[in-house]
Amino acid sequence: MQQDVLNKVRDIILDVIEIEREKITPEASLRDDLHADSLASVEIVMALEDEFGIEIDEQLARSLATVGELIAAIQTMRNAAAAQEATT
Amino acid sequence: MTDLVESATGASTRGGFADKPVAKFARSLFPAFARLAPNAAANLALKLFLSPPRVKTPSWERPFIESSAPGELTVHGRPFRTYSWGNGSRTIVMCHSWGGRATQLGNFIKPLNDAGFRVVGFDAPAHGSSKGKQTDMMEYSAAVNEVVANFGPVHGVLGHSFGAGNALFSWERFGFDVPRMALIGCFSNATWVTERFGEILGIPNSVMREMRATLETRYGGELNWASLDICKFAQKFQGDLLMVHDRDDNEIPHFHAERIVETAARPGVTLMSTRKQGHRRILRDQQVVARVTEFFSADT
Repeated sequence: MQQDVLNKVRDIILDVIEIEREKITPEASLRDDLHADSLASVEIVMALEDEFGIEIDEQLARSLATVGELIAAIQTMRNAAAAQEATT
Repeated sequence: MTDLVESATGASTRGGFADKPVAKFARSLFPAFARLAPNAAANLALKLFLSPPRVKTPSWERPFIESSAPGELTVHGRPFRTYSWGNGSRTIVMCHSWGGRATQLGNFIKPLNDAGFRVVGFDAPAHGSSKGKQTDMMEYSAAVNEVVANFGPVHGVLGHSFGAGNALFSWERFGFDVPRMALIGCFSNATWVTERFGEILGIPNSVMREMRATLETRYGGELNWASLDICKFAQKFQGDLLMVHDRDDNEIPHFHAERIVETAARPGVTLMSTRKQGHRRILRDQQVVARVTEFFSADT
C-alpha cells in the first residue's frame, strides 16, 4: 500500500517539479532535495488532495519535511477517514 | 508578490513544505548585511523582489495551452506569450498572479466561452513560457495595456492576486475602456506588499525605503509607490467591479478586499467572500467560476 502511495506521490511531484523520478525517495527532503518551493508545494498539495480525497491544511503542509512524512500523513488521513466511515 | 519572497529564499508565508534551514539562515543574516552595506542590501532586496518564481506547468493546465490560439506581443522591448480561446463577440482578458501563468486561470475558459466570450490570456515577461528573469508592476501593467490594445475592445478583465492589482493599475495608467473587472485575491496597496516582503526577510525599513526609491529612480518619476493605492483606483473606476476573496487567504488577507470595497463605496462594487479556498485553490472553486461568469454575462 505504501509503495502504491509512493508511486502516486511521485507522479504528482513529477508533474510539478523537473527532477529524476529515482530522486523522489521517502528520505528525500521536499525543499532541499526536490526543490519544492512554495508555489510548487501549493500545486502538489492541491493535486494530492484531489488524488487521495483528503484535506491537507496549511499548518500540516508547513510541518512536512520529507516525502516519507508526506506519505505517512496521507496514509494516516486515509485510515482515519476509513475508520470514521466504518463507525458511522 | 509574497511568493517572490518564498521562491527566493524558501521562506514561506503560507502552506508550503517545511522551511529549508538555509532559508532561516538567510533571514537571520539579512539584518546584519543591511547594517554593513545598506545600499548593497537594498539592491539585493530589489533583485529578489523583482524575480518571480517559475513553476513547471502542471498536466491539468496543458490542455488549455494546446487548445489555445497562441500569439506574441512586445512590452518594453521584450516579447511575451499570448493565448486566445473561442470566437465570442466580446472579449475577457485574464491577468495571472506573480509567478503564475495564463493557464492557472484555465477553469474559467470553458464557462466564459460557453457564455459567448472570447478569452485572452498572457504569460507576462519572466512568467510561464515568456522569457526573462525579472519584471515589475510597470512592465506588467504595460503588458496588460498591450493585450487590451491588440485584442480589444475588451468587455471585462479577470485578474488574480498580482494580476488583479495590475489590472486596475493598468487601467489607471493607460485609461483603456473596460466596463467590468473581476478581481480575485487582490491586494489593496502596493506598499503593503513591499512591507510584507521586508518583514518576512527581516529587512530593516530603511533598506526597504531605499529599495522602493531605487525602483522609482529607475522609472524616472513614472513610478510612485505612494500613489500605488489600489483602493483609490477602484474608487475612480466607474465600471462594475466584483471582488472575490477567501476569508482564509494567508497570502493576501481578506481585509484587502474589504478595504477596496469600502473605499470604492458605490453601487456596482460587490464582494464575494469564500472560505477554506486560500489564495490559489479559489481559482478552481466552481462557485467562484460560476459567479465570475455570471458577473461578466449580466445584461447579455
